[in-house]
Amino acid sequence: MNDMHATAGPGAEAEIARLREENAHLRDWQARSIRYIRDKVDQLLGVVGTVPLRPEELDDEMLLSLDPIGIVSATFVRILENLRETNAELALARDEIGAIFQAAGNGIMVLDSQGRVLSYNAKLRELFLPEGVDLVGRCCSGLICTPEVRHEACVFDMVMRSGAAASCRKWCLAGRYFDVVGSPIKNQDGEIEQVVLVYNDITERIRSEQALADAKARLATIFEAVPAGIVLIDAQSHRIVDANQHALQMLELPREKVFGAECFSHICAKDHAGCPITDGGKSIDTTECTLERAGGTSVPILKTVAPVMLGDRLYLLESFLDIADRKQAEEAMRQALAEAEDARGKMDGILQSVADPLIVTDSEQRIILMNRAAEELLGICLYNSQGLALDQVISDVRLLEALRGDLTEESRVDVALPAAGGGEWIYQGSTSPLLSADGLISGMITVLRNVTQEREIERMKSEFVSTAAHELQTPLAAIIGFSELLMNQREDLTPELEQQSLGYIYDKADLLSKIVDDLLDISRIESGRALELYVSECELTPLIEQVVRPYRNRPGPHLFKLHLPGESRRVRVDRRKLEQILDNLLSNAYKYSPEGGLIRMTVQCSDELLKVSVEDQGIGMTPEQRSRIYDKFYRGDASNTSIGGTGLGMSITKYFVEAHGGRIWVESEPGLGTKVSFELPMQPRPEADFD
Amino acid sequence: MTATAMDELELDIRGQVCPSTLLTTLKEVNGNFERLKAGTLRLVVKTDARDATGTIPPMVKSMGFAVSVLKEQGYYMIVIGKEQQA
Repeated sequence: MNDMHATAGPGAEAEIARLREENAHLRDWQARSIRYIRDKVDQLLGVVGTVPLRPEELDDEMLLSLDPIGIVSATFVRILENLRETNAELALARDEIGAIFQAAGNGIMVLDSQGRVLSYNAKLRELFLPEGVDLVGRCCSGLICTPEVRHEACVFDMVMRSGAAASCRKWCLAGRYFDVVGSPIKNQDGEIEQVVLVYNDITERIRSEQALADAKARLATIFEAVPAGIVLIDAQSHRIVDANQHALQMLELPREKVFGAECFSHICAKDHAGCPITDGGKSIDTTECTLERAGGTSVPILKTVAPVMLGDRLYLLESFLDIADRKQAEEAMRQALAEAEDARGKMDGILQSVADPLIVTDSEQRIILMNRAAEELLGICLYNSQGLALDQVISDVRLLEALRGDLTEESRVDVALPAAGGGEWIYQGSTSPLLSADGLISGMITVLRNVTQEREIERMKSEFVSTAAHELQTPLAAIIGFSELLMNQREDLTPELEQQSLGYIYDKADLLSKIVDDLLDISRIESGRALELYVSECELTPLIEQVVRPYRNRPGPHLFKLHLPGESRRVRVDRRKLEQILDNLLSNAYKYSPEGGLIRMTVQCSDELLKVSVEDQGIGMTPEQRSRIYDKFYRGDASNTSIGGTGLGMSITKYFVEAHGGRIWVESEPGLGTKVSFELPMQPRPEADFD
Repeated sequence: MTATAMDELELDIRGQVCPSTLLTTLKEVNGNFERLKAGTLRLVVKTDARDATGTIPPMVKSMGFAVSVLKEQGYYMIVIGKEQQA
């Protein structure tokens, strides 16, 4: 510079001075600019809260190249952008919170530190505020809380006192329950500026809890009160986790011994082969098994198992009933059924063995039972008629009336029913009440006994008494009359007349004797005693002649012819009874023959048989009369009292013939006459030989 | 200063004191602002200036980044990245 100044002259010096001045000016300007920059940088750093930039930390050249103002400015731009974004997000969040605030299911109220309401949501209005009431700016006390409940449960006061969140559980107001939570909103100094109160309406939950508690109590009561053992078993471990009192009593074990025990140690201990539920996969198991008591005894039980999920764990709910009594009852019932079946079999046997028709009806007159004879009589079968009312199966009005007799009394009613072969049969319906075990009338037993023959015999007996009286009376009257004559007027009688009177008395006495003999014979026959035959060998022709003589000599309108074998034969018979047989046949032929009628007796003999026939031309007999000719006391025409007889002759005759080992038969046509024949062996058969 | 393939940019400014550490860090943040904001880059600042742990994090947070400070052996590691959304 000095060289330039020495050689440049004054112009140059001036220029140098100017440059020096300019240089100084620039230096000054640079220094001021640097200071300005540093001041501004420090100012900016101060804004961001840091210490000033020291020159030794960053020299001027570094300062200019680093451009801290640009850096900080750019940073501020970024910060402002971030603040805008944050503000936008905050605005959105505020809107969201506002929406949530209004839409929240809980009542929310914001108070200032003095207890004045700043805001509240719709739910709070719904819960607590009458229509038209606004809380903003007012103290909530008295508007929401009543004075009674505020004193102990003001969450706002609790928050203000503690400075922290506070809550009040199950706060009750007007019958509703709330959980009230209060949270403070504090400023930067930690002072409470606002308090947010949230009211959660738990009324339904409380009621549900109460209902659940009640249900649990009821369930527990049922669990303990049910008259069955109930145990709860863990399905995985098969261990008992709960049991009711009845189960403990049945097991005869205390609770602590049962809980935790494996179920198989008490239930199905002997006969289980895997659990039917967990191993067998059954959903329900109802079966009979045994329960092992602590004392070593077993009890038969009826077990029911149902799987139940409690939480996420599977359990088995086993219930069991003591069926020991039922088992005994079943055994008793089985025995009773067997006995009843046996009794029924016996009764059925008895029923079927009753020859007479028998019908059992219930109290509603429905058929319960009947035997085979009743089925045949009524033409129905029990299978089709059991349970049916009598009038549904019986059409005969008379029988129906008899069967419907008074249920309370025994009765006997005769009912005439059509006979199988025509005519009528008379049945005596005997009814007697069927009593149940308690003595009540449960039905009626009716036995229909065929009394047709009995009634006929009764009728014939009645006729016989009348006839016998007449038959006895007639000869007795003659005997008495002639006896009186002989006693009172004997001196007036001629010897012939006297003899004739004595003859009458003898004949009538003889007739009486025959009647009495007949009665004695029939009595003997009726009694079932064996007839005594006094067999002897006798000459046939004289025997017949003796019998026939009275008839042959009898004066009267009848014609009599006797045909005898060419030569007399000897026969072995009971002479008296053969005479009685012949006399009976001749007597009947005479009684029933008209005047002038021919009576023919034919006697034939072979080496083996004696055959005798007595034939008349009398009134003859119908087939029905012919079939009953041997019945005791039967008289073909009972209405004709002029024809004597006891109705025993033919019965006795048949009996005598058969006692000799012979047979007798009748041929007859009404109006044409009757022919009675019999055969006797010439030698009585060994069984008929009573000598 | 090295950038790893793992989208992590390491800024080792040990030896610097505050506020130059702050300015250096802010310059780097501004220079990589978009990638940091997009979450494709993480800036790891190593500093032994304790004051920097009181100045850098508030500034970077104000810019909308997440910041964590780890005490390492003889220095601090300030990790700057995208703020995680809640």
